[in-house]
Amino acid sequence: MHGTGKERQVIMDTVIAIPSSPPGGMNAALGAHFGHCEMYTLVSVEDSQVKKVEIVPGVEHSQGGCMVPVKYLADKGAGMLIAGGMGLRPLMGFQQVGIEVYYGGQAPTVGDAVNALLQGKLPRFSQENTCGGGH
Amino acid sequence: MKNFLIVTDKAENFSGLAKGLHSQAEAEILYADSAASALARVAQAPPDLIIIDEKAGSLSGLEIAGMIIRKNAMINMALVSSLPPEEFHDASEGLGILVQLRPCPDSGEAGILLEALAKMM
Repeated sequence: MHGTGKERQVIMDTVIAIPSSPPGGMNAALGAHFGHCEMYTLVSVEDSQVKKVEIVPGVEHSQGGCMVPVKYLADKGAGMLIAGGMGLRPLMGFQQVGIEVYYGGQAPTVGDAVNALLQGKLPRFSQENTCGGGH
Repeated sequence: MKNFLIVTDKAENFSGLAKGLHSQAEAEILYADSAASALARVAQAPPDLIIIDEKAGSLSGLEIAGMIIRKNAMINMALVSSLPPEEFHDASEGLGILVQLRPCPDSGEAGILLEALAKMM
């Protein structure tokens, strides 16, 4: 069961993907935009507990190719994503492949963002939050 | 075989582009004269690329692109627009448009479309 962003719920087995600045990992800053980050931190969670942290490289994509990182993270097993900015198409893409997107752009580090999500403090990323450019 | 869906209520404006697509690729081209018709086709069989006119009926191409994304974000789209490229970029931000086409695109633009599409597939 995933958190709604309004109340704390147990997050069962899933992988949380976070666009990250170098060097990645829990102490890294969040990447400003999910599609053009240098790397992703993948945090495996069981029963709302962090079990494993992995860093994977970002993926290059050209104009109109914003589904490339969506498919990439889906292939990596991500079930949730924390992002600070995103356009409508990738947001819809994530939702359509079953990845829940949360807004965590204010968190100073990846670890802070993950903890906020596990505590049910991050809002769902909605269509009203979408932006353009650089996705 | 690549499948294209052209969303327009003025199909004659796309005859040059269609000719170019047929000559440069094994292409099946279907037409939808409204957003509703396009969405129905997307639900039936998603094409490889949707080419959207600047307007179709009362809706702008940008509005139609947004409707298609909400139905199936995985489909690549090209959009006709008379806006200068920078203004088009601003107007279409977040929609992930593959290529901006000029109004009444000709056969020469088929190559640009096919090249951009090949990078996605």
